[in-house]
Amino acid sequence: MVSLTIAAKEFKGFLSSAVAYIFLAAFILWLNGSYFVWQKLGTTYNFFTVQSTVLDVWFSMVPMAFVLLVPALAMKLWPDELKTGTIELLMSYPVKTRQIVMGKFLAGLFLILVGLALTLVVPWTVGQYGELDRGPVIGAYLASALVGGAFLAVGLFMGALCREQVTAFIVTALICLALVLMGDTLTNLFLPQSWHGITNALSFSVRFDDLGRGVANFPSVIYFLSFTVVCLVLNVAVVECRKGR
Amino acid sequence: MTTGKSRFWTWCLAGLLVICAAAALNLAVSGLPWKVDLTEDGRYTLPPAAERIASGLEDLCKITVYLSEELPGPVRYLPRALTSRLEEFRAASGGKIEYEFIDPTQNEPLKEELKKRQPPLEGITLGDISEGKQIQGSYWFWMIFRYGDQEATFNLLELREALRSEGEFLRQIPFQIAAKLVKLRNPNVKIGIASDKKPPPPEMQQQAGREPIDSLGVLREAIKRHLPAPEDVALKSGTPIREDLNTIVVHRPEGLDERTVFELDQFLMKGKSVVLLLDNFSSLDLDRQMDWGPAMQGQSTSVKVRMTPHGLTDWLAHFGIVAGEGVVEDVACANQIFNRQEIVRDPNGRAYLTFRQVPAPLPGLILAKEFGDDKAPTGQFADQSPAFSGLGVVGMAWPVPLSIDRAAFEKHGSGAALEEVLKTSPEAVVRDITDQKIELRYDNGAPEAKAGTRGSRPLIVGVRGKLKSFFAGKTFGTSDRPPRKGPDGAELPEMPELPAKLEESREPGQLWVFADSDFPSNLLPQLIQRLNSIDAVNGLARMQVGLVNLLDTVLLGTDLVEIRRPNLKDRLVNVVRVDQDKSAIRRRTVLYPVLAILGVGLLWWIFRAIRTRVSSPTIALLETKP
Repeated sequence: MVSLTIAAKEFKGFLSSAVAYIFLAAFILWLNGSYFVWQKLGTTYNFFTVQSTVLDVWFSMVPMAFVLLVPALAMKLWPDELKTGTIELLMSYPVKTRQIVMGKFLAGLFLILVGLALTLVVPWTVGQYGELDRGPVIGAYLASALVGGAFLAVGLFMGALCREQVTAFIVTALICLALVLMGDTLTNLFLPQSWHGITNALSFSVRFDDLGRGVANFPSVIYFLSFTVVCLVLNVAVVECRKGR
Repeated sequence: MTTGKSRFWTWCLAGLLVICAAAALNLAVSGLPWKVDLTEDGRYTLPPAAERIASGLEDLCKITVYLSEELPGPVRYLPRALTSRLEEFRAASGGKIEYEFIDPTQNEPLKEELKKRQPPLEGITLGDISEGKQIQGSYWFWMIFRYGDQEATFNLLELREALRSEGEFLRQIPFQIAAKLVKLRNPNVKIGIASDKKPPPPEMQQQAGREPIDSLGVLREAIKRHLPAPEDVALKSGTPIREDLNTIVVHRPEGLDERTVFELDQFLMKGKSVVLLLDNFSSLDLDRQMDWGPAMQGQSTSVKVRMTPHGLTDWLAHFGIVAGEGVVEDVACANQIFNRQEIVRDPNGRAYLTFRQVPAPLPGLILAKEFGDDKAPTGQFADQSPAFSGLGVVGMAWPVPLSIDRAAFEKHGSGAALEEVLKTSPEAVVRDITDQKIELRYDNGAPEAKAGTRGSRPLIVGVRGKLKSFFAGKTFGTSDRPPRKGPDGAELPEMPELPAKLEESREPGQLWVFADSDFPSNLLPQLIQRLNSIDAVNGLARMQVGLVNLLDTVLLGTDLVEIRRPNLKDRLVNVVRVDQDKSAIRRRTVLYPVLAILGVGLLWWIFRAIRTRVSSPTIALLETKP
């Protein structure tokens, strides 16, 4: 309950600043723009060339969009508190650290979900022009929410470690990029064969594709959730350690 | 009281513990087959028909997969994906399927042994990039299925496009495995193809060689994938059709004499199946290649054809199928989307080559649709037909006018059934072929439709069950058989000790009549591709799939067709409507959501501005004094 109250306050904070609107507008422009106006980066794919109601090309852009946008969202959550010193005030309240971390996480996650909800116009529009298979769309949205949550947890953890927003943003974006590219054909080409098992198991894109093509794979869901939980626990640990100083 | 240092180590330990617990949890669940297939057509679940095939195995089936452990980048998922599918087959078979993976790469004796097999199994050389360097390697992609004394091999590379993604591979491989199991369980099934082979025209001989061909190579390959290779059968020799064949496909019969018709009739009466691909003329055959050149370049609006009277009219009429003269055209089924190349110029005068999708009708090329744009059934497909329902759109080129004579069919009694599997729209008409030409456009003075011919016409008709012979009760002089003719048309002496003529079906047989013989030709897609009509290429390819489906259902039952059907479902958009609504789609998906976000932001800002008390002395004064 306390976490939800904190989340509501944080979310209001988002709405009061330009961050939420920039995040949502950039997310829509990136995803929908590159599928309906321009073309997917480095390819000739867009809706008018694919001519299909299968949205895997469109969904495959979600993790990459999150790589830049979620760290931008997360960088505000902790470094702001550290820089302005409000963290001392926050810690003096009778709330537990894990409740604060959960509150911040839920606020960010809610904004990500709002962003994803705004993209529902895409399957709806595509469904007007052909037969849409809802299963893979549901799977891909589930995968998008899980990836978004995991990136946000990384961003929160890095934000708690770094005092500077820019540092937190860059470090988070690099980690998220590595998680997406890992297991990708491109990275596999440059790594020895013996590594491929590990990189595929850790890769966000491999697991995202699995869910995105319409297979709700329980181990992949567990992977994303456990990754998020680990990052959140580490975040609590970092804040608790700061408290002790 | 905890000190800062001990708190630090406590939390470090807690963090480490959580990481270890998460890793252990992931390791524990990684091998679990907990998956939910969310797709509508269950394309990642083993289809029930595949389960039925696996569970129907009577003996042990051993599958040996000769797959390299180190595979090129794009297909590294293969061992994992194949194992998951084979495991599903094993479970469905109740242990009747066993499989093992072997990498022969380092095993020289095994390589030698596999090389000596028939067909020889060898590694396939492919390029790859490893640690940033281009390399070339020999990779193994073979599967051997053993069932009793039967064996079948399968090269995974035959899946071609389906190998590009794991999802596509998982979707396609159940059919291939099930097809091999069916093939092994039915080793005695035999199909014959009777076709008129011709030497390729001189301009093609450099590519195709001088050996006579019938341009049915693609069809033969498609059949061979899951049925024994079709065998060539000669119909014109006047000898009985081989007893060991189960089905005969007669491709564009031409000038069949009475004796040959008799042999077909008796083959059918023996409870076998006859599939006739009819045409009144040859238009897209090897000997018509030269005529299509100018037509494709827009220099001609018609194509010259060679008339090929089949000689089956009376025989078919006996079964209630009336094969008329001329050609069927259907404006309602002829609308297609063409990719037209266009040069457009930007405001600076720079020219760009683009493709524009243009809808246009192509007379004679009929695309029968299962569902209309409103997703309602069109009535052109028979819902109950396992071979064709689910194919979506299928095409035929300049078909023969068929019609049904129910009264003639009634003579066969209640043990026989007649079905129209595919029809045109009610707008179809019949045109005569004048001057041996077929027209490519509607607006160039094509001959008028024959009066009273407008109406829906069958494109595929099936007759099955216990049938009566066309030759029942007929005598030819002293014989009950039509006279036998030699190559020059001269009558040959009666063959001694002939078995008794069958007056009616010994076993239920099947006769299938297709109103076109061009769709299985290798040449047709090439020609249509030059027209850039996506619909036509897909429709004709689907018709070929339908023919293979039909052979499957006739010979082996409907299981394989059921497995294949979900793989064929494409989810294409209506390109004409998309093209018309291009701007609206862009507005709806990009502009409006962004404007909505900015609008909400603005409203929120105004709302906050109103609610925030401004510490202005003037406002304070106004608030205190009314």
